Amino acid sequence: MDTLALGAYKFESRLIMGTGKFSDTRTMLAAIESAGAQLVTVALRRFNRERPADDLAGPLLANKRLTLMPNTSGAANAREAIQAARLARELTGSPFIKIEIHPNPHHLLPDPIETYEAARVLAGEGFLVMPYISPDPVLAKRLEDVGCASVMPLGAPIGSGQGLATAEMLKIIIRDARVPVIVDAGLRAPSEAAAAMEMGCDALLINSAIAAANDPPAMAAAFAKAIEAGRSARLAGLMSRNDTALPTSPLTSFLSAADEQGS
Amino acid sequence: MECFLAFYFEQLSYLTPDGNIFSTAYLTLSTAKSIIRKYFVMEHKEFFTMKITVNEKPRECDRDCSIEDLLSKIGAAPDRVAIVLNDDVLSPKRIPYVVLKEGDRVEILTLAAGG
Repeated sequence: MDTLALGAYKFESRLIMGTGKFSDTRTMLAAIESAGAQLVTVALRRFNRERPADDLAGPLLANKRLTLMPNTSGAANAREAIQAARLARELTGSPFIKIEIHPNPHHLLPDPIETYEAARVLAGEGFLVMPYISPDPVLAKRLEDVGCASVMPLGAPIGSGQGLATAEMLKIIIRDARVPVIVDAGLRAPSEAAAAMEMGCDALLINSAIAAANDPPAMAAAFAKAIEAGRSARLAGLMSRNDTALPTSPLTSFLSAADEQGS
Repeated sequence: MECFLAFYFEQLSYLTPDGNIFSTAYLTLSTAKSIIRKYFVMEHKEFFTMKITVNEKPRECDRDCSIEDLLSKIGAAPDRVAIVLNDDVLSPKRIPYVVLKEGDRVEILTLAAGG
């Protein structure tokens, strides 16, 4: 069985889903269902007295097939991210933590220094650390060395839908990594997801592309199929690229011979 | 607290000058407390309330307020929130035992949708 191994956890699905930006909880749950996702991200927010009703934790925690991966979104530095991780573990009981420290709301690019520091401390505390990073092969290696369960380089800025803008850097990370490489952020189309998997990514984290589709559950299913196809293609081994044509049929000239006879 | 009670009992007998003598002998302690609160809490707020900060907003609560009291007052389910008390993460097991003090900073967090 081809599974995604993260720490002691094994997942059949390689589509990790984000739960943000959906129009309502019901649509989000339907999308998770049709994606067949087993690992989903959640965020941590201050309790809001005016909106106590939107209980997200209830249905997600009740679904025994799901494992939650809380993120540290909103943390401005390592100290805040570490605290958020500890709180999230109390709330979810999950050892997974997506470290997400992006100080600038304009590009939402991750702070590599604070991310590294938080990852080092949290991995030491036994968390399964999943750092969201810029596609920096050196940083990816350093994070692997401090005990991260995976690295999650971005394909393009969060929510931008620019696809695999960082493909060349991702290839280097994939080639050198000894932990799963998960492209997180930037994808828009299932074809890009298939391409990322063919490239050798171990899994993808998709949120906006599903949540912002006209029909999120249908788009979730499309991504699931594309990821499965891309993974199968990767395992099957793609043919090599050639600069010139290589014929698929014998190039005997019996057709032209027949033409001459008939004329 | 006892000396405040005695003080307010005396005051109460003055406040009911309609012939029906208000006798403190018939009052249970809790009834006495609630009457006292009703009539005098506005005048002597500082005896009964304290100032704390909840999610960075100032808030007044009862002097003997516990974290659980606070959660039920703001309508938060104790098993769905995580608490930071003065920068320390409170484990859920400790929550029922924590009584708040003047000036405490409480952060109440919950899960939300996110990518």
